Amino acid sequence: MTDAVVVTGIGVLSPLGHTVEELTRRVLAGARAASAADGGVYMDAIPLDAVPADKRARVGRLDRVCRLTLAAAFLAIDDAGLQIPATVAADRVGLSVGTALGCLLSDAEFYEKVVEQGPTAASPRLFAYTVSSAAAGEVSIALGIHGPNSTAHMGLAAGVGAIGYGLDLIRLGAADVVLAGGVDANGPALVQALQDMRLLKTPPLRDGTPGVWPSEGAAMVVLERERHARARRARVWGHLDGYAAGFEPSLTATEPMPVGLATTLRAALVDAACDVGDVDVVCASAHGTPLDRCERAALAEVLGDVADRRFVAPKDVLGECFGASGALALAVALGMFAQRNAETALISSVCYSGNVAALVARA
Amino acid sequence: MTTVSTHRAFVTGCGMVSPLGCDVDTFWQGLVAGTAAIGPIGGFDTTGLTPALAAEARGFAADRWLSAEEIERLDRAGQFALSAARAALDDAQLHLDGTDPSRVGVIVGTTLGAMAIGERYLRARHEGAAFDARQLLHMPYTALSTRLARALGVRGPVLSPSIACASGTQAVGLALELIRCGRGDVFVVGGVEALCHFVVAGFNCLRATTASAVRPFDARRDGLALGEGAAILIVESEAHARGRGAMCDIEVAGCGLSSDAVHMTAPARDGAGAARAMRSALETADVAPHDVAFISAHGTGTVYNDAMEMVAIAAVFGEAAPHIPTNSIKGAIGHTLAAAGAFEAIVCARVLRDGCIPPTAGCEQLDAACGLDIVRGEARRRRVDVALSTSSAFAGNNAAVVMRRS
Repeated sequence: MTDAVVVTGIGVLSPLGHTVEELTRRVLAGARAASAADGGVYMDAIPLDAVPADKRARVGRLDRVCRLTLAAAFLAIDDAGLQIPATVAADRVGLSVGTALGCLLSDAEFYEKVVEQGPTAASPRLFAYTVSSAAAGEVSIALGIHGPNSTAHMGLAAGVGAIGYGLDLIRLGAADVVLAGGVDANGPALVQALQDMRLLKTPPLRDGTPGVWPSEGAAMVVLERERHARARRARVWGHLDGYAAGFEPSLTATEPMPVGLATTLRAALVDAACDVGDVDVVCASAHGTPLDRCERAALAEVLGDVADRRFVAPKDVLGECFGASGALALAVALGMFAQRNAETALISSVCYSGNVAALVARA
Repeated sequence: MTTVSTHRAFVTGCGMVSPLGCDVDTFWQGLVAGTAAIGPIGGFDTTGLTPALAAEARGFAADRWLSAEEIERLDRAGQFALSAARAALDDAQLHLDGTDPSRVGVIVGTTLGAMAIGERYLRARHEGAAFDARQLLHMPYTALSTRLARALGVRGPVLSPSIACASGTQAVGLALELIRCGRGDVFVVGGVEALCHFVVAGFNCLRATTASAVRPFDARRDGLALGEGAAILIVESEAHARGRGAMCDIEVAGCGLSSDAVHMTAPARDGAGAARAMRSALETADVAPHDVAFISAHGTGTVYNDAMEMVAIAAVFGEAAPHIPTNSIKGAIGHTLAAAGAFEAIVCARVLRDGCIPPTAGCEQLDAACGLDIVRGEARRRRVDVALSTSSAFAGNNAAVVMRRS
């Protein structure tokens, strides 16, 4: 299986818009999302336009992380012009979802009721959504996807990790099309927990103190074997050429050279057979916390003079979208390709946990 | 352009914390003897929980593999995971300081993680009591695998597969896939769960739990019991294992994943999803169905799961199905959720190596509808060269792996 992999569809839901064009424009303009009264960022409404009318009632009843995932999945499949199984066999389509928090908000909702009213009040309806695979399960049912179905936690790098695994599934021959991306939902219970942990932070973020400005989002991309995409004359947003994941235990330490992160960034470029000199845009995690020093050092080590390149920091304006962050960053890079603003992007995704991952995309 | 390789992957070490014992040999002896480790829950207050039966890792001694500082710092699930991982590395005689750390990864799944901390936090909030909220840093599901990575000095891919009750099987398959994709040479792989109030309340409200015994494939089966523990395998590329002189006799030969795409909590009646995952595992292993000589079933002991598996296995293996010895370990150690598939992979490795198939504890009166050769009563001596393990989960996820003796 030596085929290249292309992106033929994108679905994004973000506090800065629900189309790639709008998200890209507002991220590049530095237009920051607005916080709610509790300090977190929430999307006003989750648009269900792309969800077929007969499925909207079910989607509307689901928990927030499932609704976000489903809405983004339908947008992506729609954008790719795919019909399952009319244009691609159901068992040749895979699903790969990355999430940092997953079902934690539903866990809290389920257990709060048990705390208040005792175990006999436990809700079977809620318990079914206390697995992080629930969102991907709903997508597989709604879209009739029969192929490999993976959900994985990789901290804030989970979106990039899930897209990387989608690339691997196509390379391994396990699927021709993989719907892959990242998702996380915000909620009052999360904001409260961050506050209790003294980690709740609000903009401006560039003060180098630890903490999180909690937000939410979902980005799903349709990855497709290039041969398959060309055969059905699909529109191509760009190529997904490389991926790597690693672990960087010294992210929060004062150690000057984050070897694990630099190794991971380099491995992604090697995986993509990409010359360092070709990278013209870097989408960084840039949390506005002490982690940034480490990420900048690794990027400088791998890329040389970073100043020559566009440097995009989506979290500065979107807030922390957790597992969705890296997937939204890829959407921004693909949006820049569409505007002919860039040709080769390196997406760097780092987490306080030590999880690091990178993608290389090309117009 | 990057291409995938045909690298082979071998299991070079196993370690565990289980309700039958906290090392692989003790676990295996209990399993072969048909012992069921399921009983009344003693680890926490079960007021209001009916039933309150589970398989707990009662013999767990944290100081066997952990320092006093680690015992202090890690929650119960974290202690299970690090203990099992150290035991597995010891079994593999692998010292990670001799290996390029960027080629070593951790793939450990969990569905509960540090849930007991979350329970205490929500209770404290409800009661207005004081609580050290920094403990919540253990809560994200990735924390178990990243803490393991830190303790072991790993610098390669670290992730927590999260397809609920099939996560452990996915973890084993992922190691093979990542080795084939060139993403690492050594993976610390498995699953971990620490029993807690949350999950017992949850399975009880689904009416999925038994009040008597777990009886996989038995006509009288009436539900599952939960279990806890950690099961860790060291999965190594052939080149790396041979390079250090490790024995390469148990291969992870193939793996497959699928979606039912039917229902969120009920298994698909036709077993088509589970069958797809098993077929895909056989195909990637380049093994024909009739070559398989042992099947480790999911066998939770619920009416519908076991009925689904009877149909799915019959569909995949056809005329061979009634002649392939099949068992479930859930009558012995309960359903250990994300760890279950990893325990079952260790069972497969042991069956391949020892030529002995443990019985299905709890299965006495085989369901008349079951056309499978469910091993029950006594363990069966038989040479096995190819084994398959299958898992199914909430949300319609299925995973299967094929393991081979070579």
